[in-house]
Amino acid sequence: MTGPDLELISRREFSRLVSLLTRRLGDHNLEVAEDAVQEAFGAAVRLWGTQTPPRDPGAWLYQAAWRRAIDQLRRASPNIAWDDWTADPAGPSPDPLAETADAELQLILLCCHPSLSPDSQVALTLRVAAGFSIPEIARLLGAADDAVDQRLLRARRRLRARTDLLDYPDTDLRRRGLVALDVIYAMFSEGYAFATAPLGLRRELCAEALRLALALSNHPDTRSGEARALVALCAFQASRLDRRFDDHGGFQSLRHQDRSQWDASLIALGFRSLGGSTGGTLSRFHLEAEIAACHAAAGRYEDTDWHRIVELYDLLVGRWARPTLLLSRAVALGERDGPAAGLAALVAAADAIGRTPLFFAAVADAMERLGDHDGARDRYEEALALAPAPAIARILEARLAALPG
Amino acid sequence: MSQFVMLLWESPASFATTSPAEMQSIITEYVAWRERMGAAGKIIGGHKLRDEGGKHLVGSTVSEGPYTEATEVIGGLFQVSAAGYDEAVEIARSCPHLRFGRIELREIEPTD
Repeated sequence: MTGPDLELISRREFSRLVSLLTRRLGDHNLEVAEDAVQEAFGAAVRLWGTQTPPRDPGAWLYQAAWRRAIDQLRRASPNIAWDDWTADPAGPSPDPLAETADAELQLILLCCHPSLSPDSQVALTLRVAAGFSIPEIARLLGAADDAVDQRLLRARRRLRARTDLLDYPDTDLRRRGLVALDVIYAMFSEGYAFATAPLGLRRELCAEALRLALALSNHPDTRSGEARALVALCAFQASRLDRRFDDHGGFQSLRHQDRSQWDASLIALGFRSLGGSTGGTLSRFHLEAEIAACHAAAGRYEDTDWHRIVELYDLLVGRWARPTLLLSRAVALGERDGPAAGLAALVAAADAIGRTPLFFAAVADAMERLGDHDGARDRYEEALALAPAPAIARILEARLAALPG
Repeated sequence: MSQFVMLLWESPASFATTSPAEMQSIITEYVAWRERMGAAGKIIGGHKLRDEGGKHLVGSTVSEGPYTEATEVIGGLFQVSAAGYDEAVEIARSCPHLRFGRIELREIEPTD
C-alpha cells in the first residue's frame, strides 16, 4: 500500500499551504512559507518511505510546514518567544473555505506585485500560487533550471524589500487583480502554445491557470467582467487542448480537429462565463473569448462564422496590435474572402507580424490553395529553416511532402 | 536471527527541488522495497525522525539540534532481522535510500 498519492496532494495542496502560512506569518515571510512547505513535502517523502503515511496528509503537511517555518523564524530572531507560536497554529478558522479563498487570492496578488517584471510575475505565480517545481517551470518556460532559480530569487528579494505589500485600498486590489489576469493568461498561454514540455504537464498548467482565473472572478475583492471573460477564454481553449496534437505530437489545426472530442463541460463553462462577463470595460479577453466561442459554436469547420471572427479580430488589432493577433486576423480573412485575399492580407502585414515560422506556414498554405505549389514549397522550406517547435515542424514536413510534383 | 538497525544518513536539502511526480515515484520505490523485505521478515520496523527541533545535550548544556547546520543528518532508520552481517549488508544494499544518502548498518548487541 503506497498510501495517498503525494503527487496529487502536492498539486492540490502546495499553493493552499503556502497561502495559509503566508497569511499567518505575514507577506514579508513568503519565502519562509514557501521553503517550509517545500521542506514539508521532502519530509513527507521520507515519512511515506519509512513508515505508515498519515491519515490526513493535508493536515500533516500543514503542521510539518508550520513547525519548520517557526523553526526558521526562531533562528532568525531568537529573542522572540516563539514557543507561544508552536502550540497551535492560530487555531481552526471559523470558515476554512473562505479563509483558504482569501489566502489564495492574497497570494496571487502578491505574486503579481507591480514592482516585479512580467517574467518574474509569471515565474513566481507558477512556483508559489500554482505549486510547480523549478524543473517543471524551466520546461514550461523553455529556460534553464538555474535561470528560473535566479529569477525567483530576485523576485523574492524584491518582495522582501517592500513593506507596503498588500496595504492597498480596495481600488488598488481591483487594479492588481487586473494585472493578475494578464499573468494568468500568460501562464495559460505557456501551457496552450507549442512548448516542448509534455502534454500532461501543460494540461496541468492550463488547469491551474483556469483555477486561479476562477478564484479571481469569484472573489468579491477582484470579481470583474474581465476576470469572467478570461475564465471563458481559458475554458474554451482548454476544451480543445487535447485535440491540438495528433498521436505523434504533430500540431492539429482547428480545421482538422475532431470536434466531438472537445470537452463539453469546459465549453459550457466558457459560454456561462462569457454570458456573465458584461457590464464592465471591454477587454481583449472579451474579444478573444468571443472568437473562441465562435469556434466552439461551429459544429463543423465549414460552419465557422468567419465574418464575425474577422470583425472581432479587427476590434482586437485596433487596440492591441500584437503579431500573433495580426497573423490570426489575416488567416481569418483568408477563410472569409478566399486564399487570394488572405495572402494579400499576410503580405501587407508581413513587417508587423514578423517573419516567423508560423507566418511562412500561413503564406505557404494560402499559396498551396491558390495552386502555386512552387511558391508554397519555398515558403514551407523557409518556415522549416527557422527551426520551429517540433509540433509545428512535423506538420510542415508533412505538408511539404504532400505537395504534388 | 540477529537484529540490526540501518541508520539513514542524508542531506537535509534532499528533495528541495524534487518535482511532485518524482516524489511519488521515490515513495513507490521505497514502499515496494519495504513490502518485499517486510513480507520476507527482514524489515521489522521503520521510522522517520522529525527534522526540526532536535537537541544536543553536552553536560548541562542543551543546544539546538543538528538538522539546520549539519550537511548530513540521520533522517530515519529501519530495523532489520538477519542471520548475520552478510545478509544484513545485502538487505541494506538493495535499499533505495542509497540513491539519496548513505546507510550506517549496526548490529544491536544481544544481551545473551
